[in-house]
Formats: sequence, C-alpha cells, structure tokens
Amino acid sequence: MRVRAIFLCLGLLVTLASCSGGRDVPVVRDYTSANPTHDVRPQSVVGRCPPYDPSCVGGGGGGEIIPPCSITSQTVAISPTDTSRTEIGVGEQVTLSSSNADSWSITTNDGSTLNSASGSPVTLTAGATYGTASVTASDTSGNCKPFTKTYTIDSPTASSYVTASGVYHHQNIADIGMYSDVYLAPDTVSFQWLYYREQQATFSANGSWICENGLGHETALTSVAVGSDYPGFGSKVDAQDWDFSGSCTGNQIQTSTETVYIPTQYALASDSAIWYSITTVTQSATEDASGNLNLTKTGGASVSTSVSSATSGF
Amino acid sequence: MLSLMLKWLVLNARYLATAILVLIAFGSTNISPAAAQTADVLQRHVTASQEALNRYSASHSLQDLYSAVSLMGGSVSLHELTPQNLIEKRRVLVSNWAQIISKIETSYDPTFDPRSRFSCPAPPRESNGIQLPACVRPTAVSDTGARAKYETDLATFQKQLAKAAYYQRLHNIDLWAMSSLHATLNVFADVSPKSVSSDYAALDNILQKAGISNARRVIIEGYIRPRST
Repeated sequence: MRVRAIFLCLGLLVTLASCSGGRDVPVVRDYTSANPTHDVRPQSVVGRCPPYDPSCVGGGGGGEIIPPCSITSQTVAISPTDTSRTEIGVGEQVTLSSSNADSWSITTNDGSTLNSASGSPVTLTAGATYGTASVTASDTSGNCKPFTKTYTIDSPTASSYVTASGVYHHQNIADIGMYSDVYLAPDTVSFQWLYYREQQATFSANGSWICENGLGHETALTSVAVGSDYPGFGSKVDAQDWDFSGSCTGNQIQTSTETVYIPTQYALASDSAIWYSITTVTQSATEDASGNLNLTKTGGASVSTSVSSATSGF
Repeated sequence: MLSLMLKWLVLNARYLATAILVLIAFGSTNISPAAAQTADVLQRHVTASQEALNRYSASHSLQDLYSAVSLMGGSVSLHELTPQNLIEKRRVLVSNWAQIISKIETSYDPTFDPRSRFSCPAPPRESNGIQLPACVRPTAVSDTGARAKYETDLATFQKQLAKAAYYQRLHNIDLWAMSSLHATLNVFADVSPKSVSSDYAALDNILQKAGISNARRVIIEGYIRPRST
C-alpha cells in the first residue's frame, strides 16, 4: 500500500514535469474562474529559454524567458483623436498603465513628472518647455524586462487668429473691427493645460487714426484658459479676440495705418507665475485714399469695408 | 526495480525539482513577504485621496480636487492582487472614484456655458468723438464717464475669464479622473471573473449611491465589464 502510494506520487510528479517539459511554465494567475488554480501575477509569462533566443535571460537553455514590461499609454485629452500618440503638448497629461510592471521612473529635460513611482495607473504630466520625457516601466520581482517609452513634448509654436465674425463699422467713420478665434499651433498635440495672453504693446498710428499713436495695448486676454484641439487649427483659446481700430475726429478719408505688434505668451495653468514666449502677432488696420478699410491679424484673420459703407455689426 | 527507479529519479531530477516547486506554489495560500509589505497600498491611496476630497469640500479649491485624483495614481499594486481580494479591492476603488467623480459633477457652474464667447472690450465713444481701440489701458480714456463704463466692462470681462479658466481646469480634472479610472478598471477587466452579475450589480449600486449621472454611469459600467477579446 505504501509502495503504491509512492508510485502514485511519483506519477503525479512525472505528469507535472512533463507538462513543464522545459517549456514555458505558466505563471498567469487565473482570475477568470471562480476557483482560480494558477498563481503569480496576471499576464506575465516566465519560462525556460530556447537555446536559439539570445535575448532570453540566461539564454542557451535553462534560463527564463522574461518578456518586456508593458506600457499602455493614453492621453487624457481626447482631441487630437489619436490618444496613443507619444508627441504631446507642454503640460499635457498621459495615463500610463502596465499589466506586468510595478515600478516607474522618468528621465526628462523639461521638468515632466510622474504622479507615482509604483503601482498602476500612473500619470505623466509634461513639463513647461519643449523637450523629451522617457518613462521606464520595470518590475521589482523581475518578471518583466524594463521597457522605455519616449515622449516628445511640443510647446506652442504660433498663435493664429481666424476671423469669427463679420465686419464691424460705423458709416462715414474710419473704423473697422472683427472678432477672431485664437488657436495655438501645432494641432498635433493638446495645449488645454495652458493659459494664454497677449502682452503689453504700443499702437503706431497715422492718418485717420493719428489720435491713437502711442496708446498702450493692455495686457489683453490675461490668463485666458486654452481649450480643446481643433484639427487643422490648433488648441482654441477660450476667449475671442476683439480687434477694433477705433476712430479719431477730423478727416476720415485719407491714407492711414494703425499697427500694433503684440508679443504672445503661454503659462502652465498649474503655475501661471511663469510665462513663456510664443511669438509676436501683428494687428494692422489700413485705409487707402479712397476710404477703403482693411483689418488683419496674424494667422489669416481679415475683414474689409469702406468708410461710406453702412453701419454693420454694432 | 529499485535501481530502475533510482536511475529514473536521477534522469528526471531537474523536472522533479520544478514540479515540487510548482506544487508548493500552488498549495501556498499565504501572501509573500513582498506582497505583505504592499498589502495596504490601495488603502493608503484611498485614505489620502479621501482626505484631499474632504479638504476640497471645505475649501472648494480645485487644487484639492486635483490632489484627490493625483493621489489615486499607482493605487493598484499588481503584487497585491489575489483571486481572493480582487472583488473587494475593485469595489473599494470604484467607491472612491465614484465619490471623486460625483464631486466633480457637482462642481460645474450651471450658469456658465463653455460655448459662450467673450472678449476684451473697447471703451465707449468719448464725448469728444474719439473711439479708442479694444483693450487699451483705462488711463487712456479721458472722458470720465466713458472710463467708468470701460472699467466696469473690463471687470466683467475678467470675471468671464475666471469662470472660463475654472471650467477648463475642472474639465481637465474630469477627463483625467475618467482616464485614470478607465486604466484602473482595465487591469481588473482583464483578470476578473466574467458573467458574475451579482458583482456588476454591487458595482452599479456603488455608482448609483454616489449620485453619478446616468450618462456617466453607462460609460463607467463599460469600463467595468470584461472586454470580449
């Protein structure tokens, strides 16, 4: 009886040994049944090295096949629609998770951060300036090989103004205005974690607008939040820009210009104390000797009318 | 017979050792020391997040709400998950996320329409006939009545900016919370028991009790149910 029991045990061991057979040993814990029988962490596979696999730790047979740690990456912003992209905007957030890693580290040249060095999921928050961030997932138990994903971080390269209204004008007065929407390029990333502003500037004017020469353009659109990305345009600033020439008294029909060069800046919404330069935009109103009026702003915003045209917009 | 058995044992010693280790592993019900150290990872995250959420209830500062979401980062420790605790841990997670998301939903300003447009105003035409451009410094307006009106308009504009900034920041926290919750539940969806309707009912009950909107509950329930692939 005792001998039979020994043989039964040996038979069981042989069966188990045959199952492993020098091939992959299943270490996936089976949570999908009510009574799980397997062990260890989900989705990791550790087994013996095939002799021909040089990437296998302890290769040449007898070692373990250790897969790379997985990183699932999803941008928090849902526009642009490619949420798996690795090109992200300054301040942008990316949710990272792994099915086999338990540890995270980051190497960056722009101040990007992770909100946790362990566990899952974690969030990558891009820094304030153009740069890169390399995030490495690893496992403290060595069940996966460290794997690194690198992100390129873009800062706004342009402020574009796009006409959003008809022309505003008073009949027989040399004035012209329009509303424009403001977008931050490039449109391949999201800048919705930023604030935007136009800096102080000085009007340069002559002719019909001579009374406005030297006027200070206020720090306009102070700390305006930036919203979602629009393909083909960029991330849309939450306020519209009201571009209006104003008017002076005196001769209303003469060759005239009114120009203001406005530096634009962005800041992280989480730290609006530090502002970074984007570009300088130009707002320009012109009038020719026949009283034809034109107003433009960088990015293509433009309207036209003439002094004699009927009042519109107001 | 005995010599044959010994020969077989020597030849298969390597496999036998593996098999014995596998048997020991299968038979073990205790949490490993490493797992024991991390056994309270989830609870520590939830407690810290709850504290931030409580602070938010008093302060109404979005920074506290932001912290409540951020502190849930890394809350799932793969080493901590076992078949025995998976259901309970998911309920703890969903319960905390439900409270955060409920708070987010009630924090939106119902009087603010994010589609509304506003812009920096221009001063009114002055009594001398001059009409200054938009967004000039108020000191440039010489007509005191026009300047007062302009300053009022500028103040209104600043309030609109503040409302828009608040909305955008809250919206970003909202997107972040949902993204984090989605990623968290994906880990569970891959490994959780399938077709356990009582568990789904319990999770849905947690969401309902938190007062989350129906539309969002549908989205979250989609995160909870195992993927078909």
